[in-house]
Amino acid sequence: MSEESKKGFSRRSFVKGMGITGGILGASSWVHATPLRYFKPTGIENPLAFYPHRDWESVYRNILAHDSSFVFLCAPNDTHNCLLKAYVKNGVVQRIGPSYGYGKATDLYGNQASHRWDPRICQKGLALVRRFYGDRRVKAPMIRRGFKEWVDAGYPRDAQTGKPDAKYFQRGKDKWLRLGWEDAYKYAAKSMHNIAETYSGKKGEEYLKKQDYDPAMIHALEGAGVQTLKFRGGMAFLGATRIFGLYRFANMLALMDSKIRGVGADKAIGGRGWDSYSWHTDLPPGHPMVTGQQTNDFDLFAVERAKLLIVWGMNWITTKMPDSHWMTEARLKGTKTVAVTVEYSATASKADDVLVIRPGTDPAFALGLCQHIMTKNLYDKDFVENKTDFPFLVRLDTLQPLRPDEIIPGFKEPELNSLHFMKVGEKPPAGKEQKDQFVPESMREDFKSFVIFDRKTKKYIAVSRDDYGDFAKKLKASPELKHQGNIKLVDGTSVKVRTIYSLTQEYLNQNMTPKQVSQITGCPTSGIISLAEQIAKNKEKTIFACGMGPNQFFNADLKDRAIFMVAALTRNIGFPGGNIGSYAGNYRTALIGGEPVYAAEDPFNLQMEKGGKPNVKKYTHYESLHYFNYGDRPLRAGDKMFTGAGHMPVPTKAMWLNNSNSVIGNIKWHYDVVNNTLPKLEFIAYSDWWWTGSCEYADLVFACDSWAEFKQPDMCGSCSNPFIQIFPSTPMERVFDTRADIEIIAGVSKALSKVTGDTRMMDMWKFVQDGNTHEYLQRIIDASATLKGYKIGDLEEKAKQGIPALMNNRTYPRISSYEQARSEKPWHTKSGRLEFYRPEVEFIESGENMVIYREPVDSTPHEPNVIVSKKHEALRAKQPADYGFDKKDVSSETRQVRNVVMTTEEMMKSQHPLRLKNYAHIYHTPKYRHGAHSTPVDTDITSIWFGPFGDVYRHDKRMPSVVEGYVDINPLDAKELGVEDGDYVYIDGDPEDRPFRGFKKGTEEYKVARLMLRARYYPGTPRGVTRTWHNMYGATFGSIKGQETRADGLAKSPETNYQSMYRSGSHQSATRAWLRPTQMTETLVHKTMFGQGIEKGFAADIHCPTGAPREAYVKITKAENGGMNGQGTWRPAALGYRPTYENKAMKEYLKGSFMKRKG
Amino acid sequence: MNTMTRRDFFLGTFSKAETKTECIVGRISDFPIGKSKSLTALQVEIESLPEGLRARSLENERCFYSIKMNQIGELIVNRRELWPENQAFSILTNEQTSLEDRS
Repeated sequence: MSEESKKGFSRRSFVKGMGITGGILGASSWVHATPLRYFKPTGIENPLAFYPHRDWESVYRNILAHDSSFVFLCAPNDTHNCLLKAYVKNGVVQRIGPSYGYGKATDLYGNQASHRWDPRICQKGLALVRRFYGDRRVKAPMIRRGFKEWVDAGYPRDAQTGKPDAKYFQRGKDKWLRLGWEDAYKYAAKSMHNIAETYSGKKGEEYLKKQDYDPAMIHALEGAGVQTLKFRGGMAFLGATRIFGLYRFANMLALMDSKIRGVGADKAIGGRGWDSYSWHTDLPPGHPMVTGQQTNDFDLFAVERAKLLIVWGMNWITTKMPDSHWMTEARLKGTKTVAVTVEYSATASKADDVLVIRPGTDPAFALGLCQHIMTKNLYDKDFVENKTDFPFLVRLDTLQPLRPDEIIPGFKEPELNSLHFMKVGEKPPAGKEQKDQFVPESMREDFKSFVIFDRKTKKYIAVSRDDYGDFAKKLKASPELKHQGNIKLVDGTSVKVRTIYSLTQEYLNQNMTPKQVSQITGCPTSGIISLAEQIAKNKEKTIFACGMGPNQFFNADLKDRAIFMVAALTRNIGFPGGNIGSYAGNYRTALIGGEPVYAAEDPFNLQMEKGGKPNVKKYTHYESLHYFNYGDRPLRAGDKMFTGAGHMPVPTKAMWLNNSNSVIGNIKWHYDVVNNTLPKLEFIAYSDWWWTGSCEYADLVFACDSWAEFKQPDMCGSCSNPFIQIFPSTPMERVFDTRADIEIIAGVSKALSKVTGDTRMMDMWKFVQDGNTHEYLQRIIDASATLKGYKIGDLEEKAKQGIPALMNNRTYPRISSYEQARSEKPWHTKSGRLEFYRPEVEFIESGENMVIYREPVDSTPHEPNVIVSKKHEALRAKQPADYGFDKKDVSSETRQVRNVVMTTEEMMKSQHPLRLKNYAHIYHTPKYRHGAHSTPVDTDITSIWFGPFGDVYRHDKRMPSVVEGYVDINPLDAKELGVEDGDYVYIDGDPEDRPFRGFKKGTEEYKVARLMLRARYYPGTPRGVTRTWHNMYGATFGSIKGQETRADGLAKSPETNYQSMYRSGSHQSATRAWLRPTQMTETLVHKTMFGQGIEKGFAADIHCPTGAPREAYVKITKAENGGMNGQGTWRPAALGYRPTYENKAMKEYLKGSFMKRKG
Repeated sequence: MNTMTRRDFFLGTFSKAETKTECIVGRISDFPIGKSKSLTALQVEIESLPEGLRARSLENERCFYSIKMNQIGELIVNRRELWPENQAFSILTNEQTSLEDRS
């Protein structure tokens, strides 16, 4: 700094100097003696060579200088996970940046990742400082006053029904009180014990009957009240010990059941576990129906090995933040990119071709591609004949596969090499040692051989499960794909048989020609044909990257089955550049296959020695959360129970969740759950570090450490990248009175030990209490095929330097179906092949034995959920009369099982029942880059970028927050409704059951629940299709009270600080719970979660309901003007900067007139 | 919503000389529920109640001071700003809250 400036120069003296010199500015002799001398121009010819007075830069350097730094792991459920560096000054985290350690990651063999993984961070991570210190942190354990009074009063209950008085359960409206940690543990432990005891045995059963639970649910309880306690570690793959800890806890509760019911370890049952991946509608439910696998996928960076990338229902650029570059870089390297989408999305803007289809018509679109590929003989004969079930024959009398013993006298099933049948009592090898597929002996019948027709010899030939892939060639047969005919059975009868290919092709030719599919989807015929031909030209080189969008429709499994069919026809499954992947949520726990040694350690036989081998025994039954979402009911319609016995939920009386806001705060049909289901529950606990909408309705909230405050390490991975990542312990002091999730679980367990007198519950968490969670992590590592050989201490030390490790997978990138594509292993299906025909009774009754098309269950202007088909001899769906209800009954409940069949033309002419009542818009709710899940969504400096309504000053005091939810609507639709850009509108779903069953206008509950939000003109969405981003925090009783009573008018609860981003309602006001019969079967054969086992029926996160949260058909009504405080038009529109309002300058700008190109 | 501005946040990261009336007294975890802690140098006793925290003067037990929380989770007692006896600092809202009837 110059000598002059060092003398100091205040703003005041500057102004004063200006006053003195005002009249004599022209006198140059004064210039150097007054403040204006600083205005003397300085001539710099080359600032890189010389630049005077750079000392001012030190001000900024000082601001950004740090005293120290540390690394933590940012891992919300957005499938990425990033080790980030926190920069600390004066003991405070000042800013966050990338660690730049990903390129240094290695596996055990020394293979090293590319530096192209760096830098790895997104805008949500950058803003986390605002969250670590944020005013919504849960700062200490809190208990709801009414609940505390109930506990303190000794859990009084109605003598007849067992129900507590509702006065204790004014959730969402009650006061909150701080608890000490030991008291918090005690309240939780006592309550769980009381509830389990109350609902155990005959007395418990009587209570539940009087509370009107479905008899099938009470039966499933088996008299064990402990099962009414439900647990969920949200997306547990994100925390191998702390989040999976709740499932370990549930398993441990078998000890409590043993005490309460007086049963031994052989009959004891644990608490119930809820699903995660399927609950979030992240599971692509058709993947196990075709491959047996939970999900077929690949590390996202495989994309640059493809020549054709189809980004299908996936907004890659938006939702894969640190991994979005793999897509754009693939394109730079020559990969052609096609977006199949329902709007002109951010990803569409990066694509070479964009195909816009009507939401929820994805199965039809895929079947249209198949039809063209089959008709033009563009399919890969070798792959289709040897790796799919297409050549297999089906009996038309039973719709079952033709079996060799039915036509070949004395035929004996061969002993299979591809499958080991486990005898009763035989135990499979430990997970990491499982090389062969195995299945219980009791399932032998599921693996009988099939029959093909050899076109050369004109003979029928038996094909066993061993004859998959290249092994099929030893049969020296040429399967006739289109064979159909009559065949004489060994019993002398004659039946008609047809190949699966023939049945499928007939369906496609009748109903799914490109022209018909164009009618259904809105995509031009030329687009369908063009894409089909491009895929067929790129065998082994077409990647289908599918996203969450189409998963969230009721017909999601048909979408998966149809897309797999496209890929199978064109040899694009299991190859480095040709494969199918699904990217929604972070789910692939199977990558840490040793998890059961922790989550299912036998509490009756604990391993207390460091380095000892744990004993595994599962006492916990799992169930899908969708039944809770459905009102704590199974699906009964007409006179039939559609929920399979293995899927059957039990009554929910208590729940404890961590790392989760999706089960109350952001639940589908949120207001129905709040008003109709939560009142049935007696204890709700949440562990969280941010006061969410779920905390608003809880009874007890445990205050957790943020990721930056971890004192115990943890471990996670991802379905989209190859890293095993450690949450390192950090030097950051806890900002508030918080504990680690796992310490909280250990604390409650210790309190339960005192309640029950069983010290094994405390021992269950010995290594947590010893401050050595590493022991549990090492046990998991040692038992995981992808991790064995690693030492947790080494991994954590590397993580502290910002360096992850690579999982020791066979390929880099990881590629699902790689072994199957190479004919090294069969798929985990009955046939060992990819299966496109489902002969199980549930599929036949639903008309889905073949891959067919159904309309969406609500998001359609046409009659919902109808099967689109002309008469077909293999389509024999049960009709409403078969189930005892009227065909005209299209209510939401019966609609789910209403298998009405229409031709394409009939369906297109049909109408959604609400169309006559001014309902005219599909309303869908996808996820967005600023809030993939609700973890970061209301960090103010993140949320203001959500759209054009962000305003940190809240000039318009109607705004609930510094940002607010909005609906994207086509401008032409809006104008028809008299809605201007930026206006407030109401969105109403089906009044039969939304926003909640039994709502009454004029009540407080309805006021909270009815969705009101801004309308945004968005030409990128087709007419009739509207959208609201799924993430934002919805209105609660507290947020409404805040708007009405706070001086600043914020929709912020005066009791809890909960901040809504809607004035009323939420995007979940228009959604509801849906249960789909083909996702509740007892018969579907699939791979187990861990290892190489095969099982059938229910499996959490593999085969169970997935819901349909993107299905809503709504009415939009103007509520208020968008102009400031309700006056006139919203300012950006009034100024002429918005679509359809363009002023002259804007029009010129859009025309490109502000730039001129020379020449 | 966090009401802290970016500027406030950065300024908050520099240690500031405490005024005589405003004193940082610790963090929430320093005040376990159900206990009182005397800070004799400040002549203040912090009571940790289920509804929140209350700062009572050691010189006059009917005199209660205001409490607020700064941007980094530290609690600040202002001895020039008096609160009624039935008010406490809510750790949920970081604002004043009414105490239950404690008579």
